[in-house]
Amino acid sequence: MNIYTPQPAYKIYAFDRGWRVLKYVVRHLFLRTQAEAEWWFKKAQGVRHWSIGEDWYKVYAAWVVIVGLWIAGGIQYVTATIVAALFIAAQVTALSLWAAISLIGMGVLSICTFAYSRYYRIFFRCPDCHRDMPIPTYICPTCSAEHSRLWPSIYGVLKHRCKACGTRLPAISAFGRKRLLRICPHCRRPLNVGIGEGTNVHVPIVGGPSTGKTNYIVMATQALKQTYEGKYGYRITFTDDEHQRNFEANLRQLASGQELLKTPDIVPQAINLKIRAPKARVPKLAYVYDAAGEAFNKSENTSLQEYYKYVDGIILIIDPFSIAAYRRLHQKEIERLRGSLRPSALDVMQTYERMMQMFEASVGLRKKRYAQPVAVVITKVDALDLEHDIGLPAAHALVASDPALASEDEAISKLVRDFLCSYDLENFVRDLESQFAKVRYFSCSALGRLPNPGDTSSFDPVRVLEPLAWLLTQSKVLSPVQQPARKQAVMPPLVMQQHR
Amino acid sequence: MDDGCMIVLVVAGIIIAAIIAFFLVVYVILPATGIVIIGIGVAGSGWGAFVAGRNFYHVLIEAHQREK
Repeated sequence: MNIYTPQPAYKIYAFDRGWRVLKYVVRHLFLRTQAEAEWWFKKAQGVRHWSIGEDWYKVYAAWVVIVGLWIAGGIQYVTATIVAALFIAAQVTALSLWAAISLIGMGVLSICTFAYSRYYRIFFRCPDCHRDMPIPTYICPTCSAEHSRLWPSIYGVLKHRCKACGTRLPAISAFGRKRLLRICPHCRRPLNVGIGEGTNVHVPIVGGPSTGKTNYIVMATQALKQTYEGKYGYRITFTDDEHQRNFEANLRQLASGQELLKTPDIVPQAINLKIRAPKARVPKLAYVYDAAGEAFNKSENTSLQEYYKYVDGIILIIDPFSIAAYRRLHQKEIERLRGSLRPSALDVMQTYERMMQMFEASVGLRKKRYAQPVAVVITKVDALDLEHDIGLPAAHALVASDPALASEDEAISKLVRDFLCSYDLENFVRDLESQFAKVRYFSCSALGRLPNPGDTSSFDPVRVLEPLAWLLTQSKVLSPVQQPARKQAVMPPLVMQQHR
Repeated sequence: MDDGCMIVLVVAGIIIAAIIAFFLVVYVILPATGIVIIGIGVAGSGWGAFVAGRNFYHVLIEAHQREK
């Protein structure tokens, strides 16, 4: 990281212009003094020429005048030297003090900013190109000049003055720097206002094509907002207006019974959610990555997911109809509902292996298990009566029969784990649990029913919040004492029966 | 007047002239010389101080205008 980069701004007077002024004044003061002294010496020369050949008393008088003129000329240098010496002393003292105070100010502000950002894990990361930056490039609001190091430096402790237009730009956020337009120095795309304001938490949604990742994250975000804002006083906002608009448009589309369009981006733009807990000093800034399922089709595509190096937790979405053993067993039903089910074509193990390949390459191989939590989510449980196998009815029954299980969430986790193992994914489960210290299994339905072009009633998701809330609690974004009450909504058995 | 008197008169005249010349040099010419030299010097230094101050001011303004 280059701490010093030349900026289109004036340096602090004490580091630059002050010294040049000093040099210029001393040099030009003596040049002018020389011109003034020359006047006196020329007069003396004139008197001397006049006295040549004159009577002795005239010569004497002339020499008296000449000596006087020489003294007068010489004194020009003496006075100039005194003035210059006083100026040098005053200027050097003032500049040195100024520079010292500025350096102390810079040091204190830099150390405080560094310590604050490290303590709260606040980093500037581009949601588009996923690269880290020491600081964004700020744009001068008057002349659009780009200031790549708008922080306390020799260009100004509290403010920098743009060289192109003279506008004073605040060099720290408390003075209004965050209100300036800023871009990523790598991809040059604008950065939204939330970047660099809160503790970063990076959560990718992993899953093959058609697993329902986008439907899931939109519904889960909506449930998160409703529950945590409504019940627990959190403030959850999108930091980018475009994300907010897209989210609202997606909700409208889901409310009219239409599925969301497939995500086209192999390398997704992160959706930034600012989550502020009640009385929290610093908000959390969640980066949610919803890559197209094709990102896991090929290793080359997976390797493009650079954001894995920051990952704080993973939501792994599994389409139950992409599990080969399950598909074989329910081939007829799946074929009958293929249009609505849209089973993912990518095998679960392949998705997992590519995810691990990227994860290990980004985070590095470790002897211990990775600390990042993984939420394994089986979606589409509204179909083929899966809700009865790995949903709340089954969880109720399991809790009743197994006193070791403290809650329905634990029961669902056990049910889903057993479900995966029973359909030849035992290796996947074992490997996942041997790699990650915190793994939990969930089942949900992002839509609540099978999509039907003729049905414009709103989708009603089932248990979409639990995986996201668990992951965010593990990542210390949500407070564990404020876990939402367990959702009791169960799909009506009649509705389930319709899909069998 | 005999030669002796003439010699005495000449010597006395020379002595008086020397005394007058001495007093003239000491009390008139040298002070006058000093006054002229010092007068010009003082005038020059006064002017020099003014000019140095004026030059300094102008150069300082110039320097800052160049740096603007």
